[in-house]
Amino acid sequence: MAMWQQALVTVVVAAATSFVTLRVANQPTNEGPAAVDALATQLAAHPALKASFTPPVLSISTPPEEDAWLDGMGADGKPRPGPADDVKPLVSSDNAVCFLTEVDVKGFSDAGDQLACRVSIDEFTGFWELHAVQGDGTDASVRCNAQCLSIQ
Amino acid sequence: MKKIYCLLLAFVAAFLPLQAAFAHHNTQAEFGAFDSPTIYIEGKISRVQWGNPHIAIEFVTTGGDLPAGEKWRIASHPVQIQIDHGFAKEDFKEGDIVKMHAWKHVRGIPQVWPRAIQINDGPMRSNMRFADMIDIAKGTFTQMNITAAANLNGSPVVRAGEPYITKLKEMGLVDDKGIMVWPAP
Repeated sequence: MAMWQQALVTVVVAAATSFVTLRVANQPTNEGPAAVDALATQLAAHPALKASFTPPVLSISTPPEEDAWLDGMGADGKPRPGPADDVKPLVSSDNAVCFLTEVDVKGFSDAGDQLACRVSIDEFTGFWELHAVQGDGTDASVRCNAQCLSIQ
Repeated sequence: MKKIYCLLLAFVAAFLPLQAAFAHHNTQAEFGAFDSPTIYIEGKISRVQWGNPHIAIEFVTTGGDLPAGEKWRIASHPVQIQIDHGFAKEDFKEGDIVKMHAWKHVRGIPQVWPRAIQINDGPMRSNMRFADMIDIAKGTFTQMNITAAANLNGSPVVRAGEPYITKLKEMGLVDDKGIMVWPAP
């Protein structure tokens, strides 16, 4: 390539670069966000995106009317010791998480007494379950309850 | 430290309200009234939990009014009451085929309470003596082809409900102490 051709190419490239740089640098400051806003509005109204980005709805369950419970003493006044595990199914674990809201014990009188409240997922049904547990030989009482947070 | 914790728990427990317990779960609150309709289910037992406060039997449905292949659980009596109804732990084994008339849980939980259970090719046996009383009073018991609960005779009729108690008295099936007499004298 001849010297004069190289010089011409250099000048043209430099001019084009300068032009683009100036266009970008001199762009009005409020034009960018406005354009983005307009684009965002258009995107938000697009049916496919609306379907994909529907915000999740959180809901909390009411606790079961009756606690999970075990009484250490029967209606006849005689001790009713464990082992025992009272189970109350709560909700499907597909879209929920459950947590204890009540743990009440009564008659806890011996270091060997064992009572527990638990929430766990039952592998068979896939439901969250609330457990009130009385250990072997424990004649103390326990009441438990729980609520669940579901995502729809 | 453990002792202090126990003492603290005992102290807290002393201030908790006492509540008399005359039964465990309120069956009718969870599964509907004893005289409400039942569904018919067939299934295969997956697991038996024979313990207090309630016996639980897991099964996979194979037919009846529920779609096949679903995982459900039988909730039933405490151990002694289950035995009093005429059932033994050995009656239920993994892999057994069960057929039953049962009440579904009112909150849509995959759980049923059997009105009557048939294991493999055995008889359809009652699992609820008070429902027996109701069906006898209604005159539908014989056609249901259910073997009466083993503890039906000699049971207080009070939980059957007033209209049915009146009918049972008219039928001569209640003695002067309010106790069911079965079979009919």
